[in-house]
Amino acid sequence: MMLEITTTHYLLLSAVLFAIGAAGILVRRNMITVLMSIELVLNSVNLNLIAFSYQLSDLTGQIFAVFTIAVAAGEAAVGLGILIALFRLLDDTHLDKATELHG
Amino acid sequence: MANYLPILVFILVAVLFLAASLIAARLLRDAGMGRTNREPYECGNEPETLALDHRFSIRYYLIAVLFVIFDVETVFLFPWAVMFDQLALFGFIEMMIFIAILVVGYIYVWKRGALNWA
Amino acid sequence: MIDPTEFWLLAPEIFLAVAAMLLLVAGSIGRGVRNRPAAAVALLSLVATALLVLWAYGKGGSSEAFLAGMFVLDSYALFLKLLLLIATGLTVTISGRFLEEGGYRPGEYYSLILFAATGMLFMVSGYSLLSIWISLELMALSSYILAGYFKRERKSNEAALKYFILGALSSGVLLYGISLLYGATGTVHVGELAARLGDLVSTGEQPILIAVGWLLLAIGLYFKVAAAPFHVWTPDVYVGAPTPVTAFLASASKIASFAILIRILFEALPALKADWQLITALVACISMIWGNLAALTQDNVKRMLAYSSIGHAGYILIGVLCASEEGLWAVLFYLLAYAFITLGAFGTVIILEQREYAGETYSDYAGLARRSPFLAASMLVFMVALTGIPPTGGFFGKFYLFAAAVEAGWIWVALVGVLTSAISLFFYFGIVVQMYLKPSEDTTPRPMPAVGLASTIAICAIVTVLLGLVPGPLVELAKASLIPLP
Repeated sequence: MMLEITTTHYLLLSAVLFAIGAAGILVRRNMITVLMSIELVLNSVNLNLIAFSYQLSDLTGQIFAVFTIAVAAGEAAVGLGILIALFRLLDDTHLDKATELHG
Repeated sequence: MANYLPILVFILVAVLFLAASLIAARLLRDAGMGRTNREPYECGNEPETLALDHRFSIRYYLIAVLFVIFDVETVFLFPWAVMFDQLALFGFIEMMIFIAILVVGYIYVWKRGALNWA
Repeated sequence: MIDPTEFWLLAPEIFLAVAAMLLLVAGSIGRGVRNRPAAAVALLSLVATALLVLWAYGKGGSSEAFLAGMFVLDSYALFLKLLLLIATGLTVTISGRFLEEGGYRPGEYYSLILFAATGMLFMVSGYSLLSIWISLELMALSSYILAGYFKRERKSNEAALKYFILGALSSGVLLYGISLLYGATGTVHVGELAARLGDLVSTGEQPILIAVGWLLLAIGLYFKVAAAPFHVWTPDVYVGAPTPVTAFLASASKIASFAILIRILFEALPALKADWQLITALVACISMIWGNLAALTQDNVKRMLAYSSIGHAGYILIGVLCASEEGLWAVLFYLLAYAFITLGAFGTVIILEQREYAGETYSDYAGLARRSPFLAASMLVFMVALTGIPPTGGFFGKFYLFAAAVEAGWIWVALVGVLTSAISLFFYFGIVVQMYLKPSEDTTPRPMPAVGLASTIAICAIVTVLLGLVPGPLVELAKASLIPLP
């Protein structure tokens, strides 16, 4: 017996990815893991967009996904750049060390 | 307002899941950092040094970042190349402008010395 | 197929982007450009862009979307574009000192400011969730880097990091909401989205997709305007970022974020008006209460201004939730007054800062009236305006907002606004008391600040007072810059 994959399945998978990503951003203390979690969130959106695009037979979702990929790369680059700058000062990528500001 | 009930349930489940997984991780995980934790990932080979003893040059990250940016922009080139004959001159000019903007970024990176390996 | 001549309407944005790229390249060659020429180029390009905005509006300004429905150049966009260019220009004039003293490269700094401004101009014209989102990212990515521009200062780096992490999370939330709305309706075009949502809501189809979708979208936007309870990034980022950047974030960035919040709520989600009015009312009240109460306990002036900006986001949201003509023009008037007040207040903070982060506490303002009457007087104007006391633009701004709320039947929200304004008197006048009543150990008169900084502060103070004396012309202008009501 074959299980048919419907849009709902994609939505569930993407919701799980989004939840893992969001939890990772908020909970994880290593900056590299946080960056990966951000990618996870953006890719869960891509999955959504492409699943809907397929279901609706509408290209907008795919075009949107292409732009999301490009912006996600920019975001990763800026994040890594900030991280490198901080690393040069602190010699560490752990967020717990970034404690100068609190409130 | 009944439409929003599933959202409340969703948030509740999300919070419970988060709490449960954090508590479970605390109960189950190994107490200390063994040698295996500190080894770098080497695809199954015996690593030469421990991850925390050996630092890679920060240049690697910089080059990786630059690679990611310029690499991902090709995502726009693919659909353009596929539809090239229909997009015609208008599409061509648009893509040249897009690449010109990338070149500006390239000149900047080059002149600021981010590509110098020294 | 797109008509290429429609690109003329984007001339201002294209021009500004080209100017930013030229500055970037010029700043990277050799030892880069010096502060004064770079600032002059940035200012001139902003002025030229403003002229181009007027020209483009005259050529094809209408409420019809162009370029495949991606953009719109209506009077609302015109008003906000000019306001954003003014705010960016004033940011440029208060930036020079920290670049010169800290030895940071000015070419890249101004080019990032111009890139952020380009994003903002696109934002207020965006008429598709796609174009709005990409321009939002252009602004956000530039702002993350600007917040960390003091590369050698730990605080600035940490501010950039926190801003980046929470900003990226909010972008993800916003985008997830957009993807669900797209799934429910099959479009990201603002006008079509409104029409299809209207049909779906009246027939009761796809209720969960729509409800989750718009909520996530709205939460992402509340994040960007720094409204409580989505404000956690604000205090740390405002304190850690270089002060001119903080001023930029608190004025221009906030205006652009409010512009898209209003555009999306009013033009894309009119079918859900009752729902978003209620949520916005809650967010507005939490912001006003939390922002003003937290500001009471601060002794760092930048941090106090950060919490006060959260409170002011709450006041502006009052006008948004009314969804009435009065509410909308009150918001536009308030955004204008608030931009001048904030830029002026942060400009004064910049003058009093000694090295990067010293001189920011309340006690550093002691006896300022004797040491520099000009600075003390202008700070007095800004504090009076932030509290909302006549004769300043801040008074009329708040007055119009509260009046609109009462007229639209949101009396309890207006009441919260009035009460929290009364609370805010304490911390704003804490500074005034320090300046005028407390003696200072150091009694040497302060030297006059640089011409650029001093004239910016003077302009901001004069505009703030003028708006309080003759608000009429600007009210008329704001009234002519409305978008269709939901």
